Amino acid sequence: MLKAVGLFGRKKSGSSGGNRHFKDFYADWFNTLNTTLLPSLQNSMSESDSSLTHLSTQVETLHRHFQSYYDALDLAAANDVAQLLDPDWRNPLEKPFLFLGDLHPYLFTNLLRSFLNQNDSDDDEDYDNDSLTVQFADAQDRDRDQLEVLFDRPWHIATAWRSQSYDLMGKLEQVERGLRLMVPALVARARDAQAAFLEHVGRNWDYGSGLQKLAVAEAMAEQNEEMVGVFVDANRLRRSVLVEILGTTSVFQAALFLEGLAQFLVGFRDPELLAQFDLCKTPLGKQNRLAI
Amino acid sequence: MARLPFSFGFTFSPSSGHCRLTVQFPGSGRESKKSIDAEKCNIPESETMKGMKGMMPSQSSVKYANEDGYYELEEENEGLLRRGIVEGCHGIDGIADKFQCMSIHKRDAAKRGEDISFQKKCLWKQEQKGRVARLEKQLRIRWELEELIEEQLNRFHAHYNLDMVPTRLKDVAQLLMPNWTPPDELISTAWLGDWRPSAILELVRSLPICSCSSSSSSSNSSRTEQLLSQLIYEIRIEEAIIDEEMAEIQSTCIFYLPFAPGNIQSGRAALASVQSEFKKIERVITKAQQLRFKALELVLKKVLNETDAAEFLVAFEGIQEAIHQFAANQRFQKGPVTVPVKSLGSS
Repeated sequence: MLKAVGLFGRKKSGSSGGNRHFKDFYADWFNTLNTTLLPSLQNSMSESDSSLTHLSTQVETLHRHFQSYYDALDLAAANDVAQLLDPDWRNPLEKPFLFLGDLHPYLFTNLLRSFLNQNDSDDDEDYDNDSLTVQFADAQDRDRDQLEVLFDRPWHIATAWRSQSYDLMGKLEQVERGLRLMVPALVARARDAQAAFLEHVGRNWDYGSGLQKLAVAEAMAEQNEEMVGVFVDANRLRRSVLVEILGTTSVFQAALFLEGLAQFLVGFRDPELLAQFDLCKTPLGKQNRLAI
Repeated sequence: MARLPFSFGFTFSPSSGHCRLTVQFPGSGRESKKSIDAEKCNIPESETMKGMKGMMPSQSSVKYANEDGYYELEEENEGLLRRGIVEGCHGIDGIADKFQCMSIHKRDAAKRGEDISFQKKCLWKQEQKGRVARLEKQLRIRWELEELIEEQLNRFHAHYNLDMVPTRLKDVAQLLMPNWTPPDELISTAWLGDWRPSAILELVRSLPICSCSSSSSSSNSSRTEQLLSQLIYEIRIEEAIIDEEMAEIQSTCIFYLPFAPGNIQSGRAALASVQSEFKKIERVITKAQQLRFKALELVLKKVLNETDAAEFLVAFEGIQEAIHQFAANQRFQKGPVTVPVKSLGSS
């Protein structure tokens, strides 16, 4: 179908009409993240003489990059929210982890928790052993990659989470409380929009003439409108969680947080992993499945 | 299945003014057809009608002699017909394979007495046979309908539990966001890749079927309405639980995927981590499929009678098709989703 659209040279298919395909926008956005912003942030983090201002600019740029992505999602929602909720530019490894078209808002708070917890567990271990480097005496093989990264890091970055404040923990809990109220509300709105759609459609079903196109069109327009609202609110939630986190963390913490988030997104598109993934069978056999 | 447990016939004897209602019970295995002659019932006329109105013997079973010795009639709640049998007859006629009975309409019949000829009786009998045959035909159609509904339900079961299962990891994404479902169809009806269970029940509620079009009473339709509301409420709770499970996976994958900051892995270990996350997702999908089937089963077996269930299945298919066509067309007309270039800030 996409090919057919291309053949007919539809007005919307190019970027000339003042509009761009979201798919192309996303590809560019991702490339900028992967090839420019993430490496330069990592460079700034590795240089021991890197100025705080420079790092802070990098952090700011990367944060704006994420915000611009959510702005674009909101703008595109007016065009066709359905495609944004079923994005064909995401690969099969990413799709199952999408909640209302993008990362789950809890994922951001959990990312922050993973840094805080990592530090907690370091604290529990031999904290006095070596206060100049991050403890890695008990490191297992799987941590080697991370530790290699940390080796290269200057002291203030490597120990960024040691100096965590109670403010940060308090803020995290506050954000999580908010999410616990707002996420189920979004889910319920999406569900109710579907119920209203089917109520509309069902009322107009006729055994003689079937379902009139007009009735489907009306019902779908109503449902789409509500889903634009739900989607935009979900993005607002994701955006504001990022703002809250980055507003409370130190520059070094913010740099590590955004690095982690960017690496996570990039990880979904790792060619080597995707090649293995494509061939991999599912772990659940039919027998197991029936027993669930 | 609501097959009648017996067939019946009706005869009238002008001489005595007695009517005979013949009831035939098809036995399971051994024949158990019984016959009682109403003329042998030594009950005064006036008593017969009274008996019909509920002078039940206090015992719950009445014994009748037959060729095997005794036949015991135990069921009390088969309605007026059987009560008549129990009350009106105290004797057995062993000739026929028929369980007959009762003196009813005796007075009316006696008044008209001589007017009623033998031909009329035959005509009446013939007519009655024709009616019963038509009834039987309708019943057979109903049984066929039941079978078709059962068959359809089995197909749904197989579809959800056997056909729509992933064999490779990448199939999981395909199940959640299927290529064959246009985006507009997906957002308007789907939950975890296919029809939302509670939405199936919502559809039943809004369709112009179930009791509205049939002749059932308004109390019946309000009972259906109440049952539907209750089921929607319950199914929604189950959906919410499954939603929570999915949200848990989607939000904790930042701890477990092999490119999460605290869990960087490569090679086989990386794939194993991915597999373990997908295993969790697959479990959620399986539960969602089971709930979907449960909703359908409730609709077809508990909420609707056979006719309404059949009507629903026809509507369900028609509506799905209409939505699918419309959504596919919509996707084609709109083209790929776009974003205005000017409004985008550079980053």
